[in-house]
Amino acid sequence: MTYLTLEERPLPIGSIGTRSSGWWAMLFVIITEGAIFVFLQFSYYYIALQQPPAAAWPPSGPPAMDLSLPSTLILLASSATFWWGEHSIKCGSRLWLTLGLLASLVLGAVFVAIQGLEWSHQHFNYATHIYGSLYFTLTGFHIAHVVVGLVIIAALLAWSLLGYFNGARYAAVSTGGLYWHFVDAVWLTLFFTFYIMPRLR
Amino acid sequence: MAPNAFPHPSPQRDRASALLLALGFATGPVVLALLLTITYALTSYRCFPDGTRLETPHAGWNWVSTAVPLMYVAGIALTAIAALIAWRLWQRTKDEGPGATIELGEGRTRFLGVWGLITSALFIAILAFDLINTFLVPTCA
Amino acid sequence: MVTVADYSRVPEVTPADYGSPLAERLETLWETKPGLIGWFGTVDHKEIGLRYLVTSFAFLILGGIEAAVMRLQLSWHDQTVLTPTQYNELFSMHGVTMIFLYAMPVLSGFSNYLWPLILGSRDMALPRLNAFSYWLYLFSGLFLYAGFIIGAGPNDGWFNYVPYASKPYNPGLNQDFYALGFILFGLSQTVGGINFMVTALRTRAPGMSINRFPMMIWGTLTASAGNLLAIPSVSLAFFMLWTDRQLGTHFYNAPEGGQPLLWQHLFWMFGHPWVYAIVLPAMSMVSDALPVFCRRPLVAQTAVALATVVTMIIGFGVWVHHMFATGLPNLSMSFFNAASLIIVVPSAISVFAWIATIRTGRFVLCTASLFFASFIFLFVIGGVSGFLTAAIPVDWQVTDTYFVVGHIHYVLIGINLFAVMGGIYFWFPKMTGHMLNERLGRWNFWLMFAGFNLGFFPMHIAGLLGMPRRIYTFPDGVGWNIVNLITTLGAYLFAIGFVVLLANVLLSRKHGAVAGPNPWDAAGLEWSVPSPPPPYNFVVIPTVSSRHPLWEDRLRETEGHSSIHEGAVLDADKETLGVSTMDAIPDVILKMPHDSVMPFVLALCITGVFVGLLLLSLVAIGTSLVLGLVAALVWLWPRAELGQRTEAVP
Repeated sequence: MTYLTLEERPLPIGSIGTRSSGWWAMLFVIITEGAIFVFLQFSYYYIALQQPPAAAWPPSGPPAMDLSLPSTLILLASSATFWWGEHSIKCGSRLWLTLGLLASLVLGAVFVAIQGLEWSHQHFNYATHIYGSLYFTLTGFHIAHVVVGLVIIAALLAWSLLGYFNGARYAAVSTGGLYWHFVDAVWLTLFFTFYIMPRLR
Repeated sequence: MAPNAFPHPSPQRDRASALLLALGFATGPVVLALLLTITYALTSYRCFPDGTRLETPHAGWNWVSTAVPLMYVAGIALTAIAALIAWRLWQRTKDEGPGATIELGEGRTRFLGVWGLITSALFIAILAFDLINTFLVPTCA
Repeated sequence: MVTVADYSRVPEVTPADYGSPLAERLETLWETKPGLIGWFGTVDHKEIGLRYLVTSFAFLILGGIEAAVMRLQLSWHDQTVLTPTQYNELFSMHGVTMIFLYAMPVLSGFSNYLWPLILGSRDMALPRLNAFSYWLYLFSGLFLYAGFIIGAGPNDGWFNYVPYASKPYNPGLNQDFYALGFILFGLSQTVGGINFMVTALRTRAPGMSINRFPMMIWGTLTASAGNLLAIPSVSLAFFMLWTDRQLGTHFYNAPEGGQPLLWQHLFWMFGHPWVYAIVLPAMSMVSDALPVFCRRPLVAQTAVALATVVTMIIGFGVWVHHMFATGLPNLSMSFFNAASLIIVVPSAISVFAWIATIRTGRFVLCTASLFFASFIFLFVIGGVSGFLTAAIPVDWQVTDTYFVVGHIHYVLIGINLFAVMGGIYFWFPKMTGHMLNERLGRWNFWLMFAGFNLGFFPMHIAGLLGMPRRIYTFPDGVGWNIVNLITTLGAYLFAIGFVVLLANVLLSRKHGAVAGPNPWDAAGLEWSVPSPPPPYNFVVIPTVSSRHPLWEDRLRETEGHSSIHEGAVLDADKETLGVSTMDAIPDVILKMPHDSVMPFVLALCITGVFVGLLLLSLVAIGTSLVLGLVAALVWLWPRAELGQRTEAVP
């Protein structure tokens, strides 16, 4: 009956996992960022669907998967290592958190490098044709998000090394993880649009 | 502080799962969002198959005339199910608090049940309106 | 192993007393420190709310002056007050100022000031983010006006259609100022929206379950959710416009396979929800304040709250009704026609609830209640003209005429400004401790009400007479002279009424009658604290048991009794309670940040990035990014006193 009376019920103090305001703020950040990618995809399909039937889409055929497929797996792996790091700090292991974050940082950086390589291999740029505009804008938005994610992971790694986290105080890790998993999930939708969809036609 | 000064805001919360409450409320909006996007694209595409406006819809896309009304019928059916779910949840929690839900708003569970019911009804109205449009409005013209 | 239990404490519960040593201790903890650092670093929601209000009113006055000059130009045929180019920039800037820089921020101002007081909390959930949102808003306004002052303001109307906004047709910096300035503004509103969402879901008084939300929470919560989903659309549209103009992409470039109509889709996918975002919080202010002057709770509040939410949801499915004249296929348009007509239902629920509240209550006549009651009248007129244009044939007849101009002004002035005016008369005593002068208030109301209807109703007629919008002048003999003259006279009368408000505010701020905590005998938690509220808001955190905590003894409708005079102390540094989302059961003691200049610095750096983009200067962009990164790291660096690190906190 006295669920609201505060006597005799200890309440945790400060940033505690999903009860911290920062984690909730990140939840709404990814909702609004998710909306950006929805509108980017809308723009892509809106324009793609209205190309003259005679024109090839994409103009130079479906992009090769030899770089993008491995990079996709690498990005997914970085999500897994992050998840493992977060899981470890919940169990109190700072060592595994640090290693997990380090692995995510390296894997994420490799993804960016491969994506840069893929960009430099394209025979068109953003001003060549409308497909180029869409391709570089959509993937560019995503890479920008990955880079922000890498900055976040680097900060978390530094804080982990400084000993700021333990089995109860790890809200920053959960918050950063929310963002990183979001960035990875978004890549899957872009991968589908650019690499799978043209092959389905 | 009297022990009963603060009755729980949702004493009957165990009688209605959060998932069902969410379904009752969100089905109509989600169905309408999907249908608007899909049917808008389908019905528009028939008039602009190669970038220039046709007066009569492109013949290769005649299946759209059947598919679109059927989609709306399915949408109405789904939303009606959601309305039914919301109605049952509301019935189950009708006596959760004093007074009428619509006025006092006491009882958080039944409050959400009523919300689902009204929302579903409203979205059925929009979907029915759209369904009628598919018969009365010329596609391109 | 360390667990959550190691960082816990049972909050102490004591009676509330605003003159106690506890109150003094809280005052020292929560007050903004004096001096420049305090001024730039304050995170007090009341200070930020007032800044929002003052800044948005400054923009309202600027937009009003722009309108006054335009009305001179249009008062009679063939006037030469303005050149066509000046007129273009003036009407565009008027729209941008009113719809973006005034209409949303003024409501954010009210919500920022009032939310924690209404919710029974000591601050917004994310105080530094709150300050950040304000600074971004201020800088985006200055950015847009910088363009205007150097003669490069937006010049294609507030909805800025391509291809006229594209580089070949609009080579100056005008569109770049608009595109970048808007993205900056959108960022500020997004950040503010995130803060409102987290605040409503997490930092409320225990017991304030979602069914007990005051209406003002529903209004701003709905608007914030809408903004989070809608603003990305237009920010993206403006970004693509900017890359089209500066980098040579082809999004809106038809010969290269781009789609000019994509702009309209993206703009209105944002634009229509935005229209609701700038009226729903205002409607909710009326829903909370009008019943106080009817001496009874709002009729059917559950339905009115739902109507608020549903209006926004349907509002995402009506955008094509702004594009009925673009040659889209009929059947496709008819789907949006349906949603546009049905959206009247939730609005009607609100209107009938307000009318029933007045009808079944004892109406108290005063300036505030006059503004609220006239708001209903104007809402109906604006709503009916909107309902008319939702019908495709009517829209084809009146689109791009002054009929639409009349409609938008009835909606935005009627539903936004009149609610805001009533809100000022209602909450001014809470903010300053002094009542506004009632005699001046009556002059204020009748001048504005008469001037508004005299000025803006004839716009509908001008539209039906065929007068197109956005023309800088018109020839003699087309029959538009008299109707425009009346509009100009009415607009000036309206402006005089507004000046009376400014005089009243300046006069009453220090010399008005002393208000006391609850001058209107209202029901909300904000009226349980002193006026003006102390920096910490509540000396103890209240617990609520109904929608009307201060009216419970009178209404005797609910079982529980809210506890205003006894509650959790929370004085081991800046603290407030966090609660569960649905039922508001306390689940954490949140540590709140002290003043910080980092939000200001970061906002400055982000503005620097946009200046760099405008000037296409990689040096400026790079420097600003690096400095911004440093500021963000300093801001977010985990702190022991905020309970973000392993150290134990009291």
